[in-house]
Amino acid sequence: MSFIQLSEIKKDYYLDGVVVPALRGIDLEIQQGEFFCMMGASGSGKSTLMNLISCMDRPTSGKYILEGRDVANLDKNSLARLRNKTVGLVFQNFNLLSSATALENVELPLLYGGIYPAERSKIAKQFLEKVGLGDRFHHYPTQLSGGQQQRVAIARALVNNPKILMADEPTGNLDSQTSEDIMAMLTQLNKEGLTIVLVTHEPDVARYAKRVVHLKDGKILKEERK
Amino acid sequence: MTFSSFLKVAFTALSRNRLRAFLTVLGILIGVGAVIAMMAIGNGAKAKLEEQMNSMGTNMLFIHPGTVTSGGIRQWGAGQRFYPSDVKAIKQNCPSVAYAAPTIQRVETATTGHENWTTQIIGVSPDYFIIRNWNVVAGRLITHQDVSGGALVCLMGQTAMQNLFGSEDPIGKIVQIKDVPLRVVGVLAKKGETPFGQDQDDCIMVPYTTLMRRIVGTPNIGGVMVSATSSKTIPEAEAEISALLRQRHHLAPWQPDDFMIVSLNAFVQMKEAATSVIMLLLGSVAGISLLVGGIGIMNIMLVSVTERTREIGIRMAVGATEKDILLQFLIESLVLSLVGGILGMILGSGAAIVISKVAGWDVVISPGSILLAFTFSAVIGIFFGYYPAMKASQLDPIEALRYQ
Repeated sequence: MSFIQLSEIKKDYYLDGVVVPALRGIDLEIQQGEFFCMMGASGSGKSTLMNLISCMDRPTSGKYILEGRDVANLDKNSLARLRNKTVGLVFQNFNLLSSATALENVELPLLYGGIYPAERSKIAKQFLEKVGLGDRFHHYPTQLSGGQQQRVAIARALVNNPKILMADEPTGNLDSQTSEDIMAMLTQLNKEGLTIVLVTHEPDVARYAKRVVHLKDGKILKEERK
Repeated sequence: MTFSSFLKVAFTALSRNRLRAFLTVLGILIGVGAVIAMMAIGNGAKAKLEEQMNSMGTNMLFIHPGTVTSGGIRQWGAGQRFYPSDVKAIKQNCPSVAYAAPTIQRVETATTGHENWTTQIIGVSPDYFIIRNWNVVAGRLITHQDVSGGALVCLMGQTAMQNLFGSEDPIGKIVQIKDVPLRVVGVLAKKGETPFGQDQDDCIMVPYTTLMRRIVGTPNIGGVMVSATSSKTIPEAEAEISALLRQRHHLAPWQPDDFMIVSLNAFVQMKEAATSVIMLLLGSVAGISLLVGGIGIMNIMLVSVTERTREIGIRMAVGATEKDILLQFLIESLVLSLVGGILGMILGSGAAIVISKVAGWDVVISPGSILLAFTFSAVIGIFFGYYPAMKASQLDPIEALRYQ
């Protein structure tokens, strides 16, 4: 059985009583250890799909099997637990807490995972070292470069040993050299066995993925395999 | 998430906006301060009243001749006079009465060889000392033999003694009242003021028979002082005495009482009512201040939730549950209100102490009032913090992350 299995997934939004379909029936399977990419223009539904896969949102209809378990209709608490333990998220604008240090940001998922403070700090330090920020524990996001901030975000996404890393335009706010560094890091993580789901509209970024799905108007347009 | 982690997050968030946190806390601080000061003053007044009441005697009833209306003129104390036999009858026939003593007193000038002092001359019987819970510090009390023989003896109250004898030992000395020589046989213990502000120690006590026959020259006594068997039997005692006196005074059922029975407890209630009016006034100031303080907390927490929408989104994205977010904001408002509460306690206690020094009021800061204030501020923090916290926890993570 596939690690992620979406079937007949639909998502509608309601704007002033008008139904706006964002996803019109998506069938998709992602295997464990894949480096998967979703591409599409703005409004294609790729962000909506990403939100569904990362358990930030629930579909209007359809089935979503994650690790053999239907999660399409889970309650908010169970979704929060999945976001905490199973899915790691990396965003275009990093989404770090500006009032917290790099270390505190990385500790955040451990905090909600119920890990005790001493243990939290130990684990978080390991992951910051892993992304090459062993000397930046007590820096605030504003004191870090964009690339460094994104590496903090990656460390935060990895700290609870998730099964999937979801990256939504992870290089969108970075220069090309830094982008390459970040993508190299994701490639390395994928080699270590982590499933990576990437969302982007840049072909340069998409080329790192082994499988690319193109979305248009809430439907899968085509699929490429490398 | 552990409680200490929540606390740390709350303190970090609040310390980011110290001035705002402090201003928010002010309302609670003033409210709790007012509660503490109010209770300190109220308890102080109550303690003083109790002390004064206990100095008067316990479970007391006073029986006076009543008012009589004759020819359209109401005359106080014109009812039938009392005699020593009434005291005996009350003591024998009223089961709820423990002790009864005649009351008779006059203001007279007492003289020694070289001093004179105008003071209350109180006629007493041995029961008087039991009812008033009063004893001598030197010498002896007035006995039944003194009363039955109309002995020429007296007891000195502390103030009268100071004025007549100074630092001399008065026992065995002679005092003259209206040319009647009385030998001092005892010195009374200090009693202090009545709730009416009268110095109880400014007196000389003589057997009531001596006062009636030798000093005043009257067959009457002023009234009767009684103590009930317990505070619960005061109404029974009153009813029994009333029935007995109506019978002794040959009153027909349609005639009004020609005597008055006054309970000291009625006076206590009156005084307590006055105290509770002050308490109520201060209490409503405190209540309004706490309410305004609570609204202030709610207001600031709502602003804080809006400002931190993205932070909430980030926390949710990495796995915070609704409960985590709810508790985070609830604990933040709890911390605000408790800090206000603790500062208020310090301020209120300080104010109470200053009041006691400046105004000379008695204040009592009880652990109960501290506990009450603490509980109050905690309840306010939770009550007014709940809505903003609920609002935060209900945010949609996707929308929250998009918030600029």
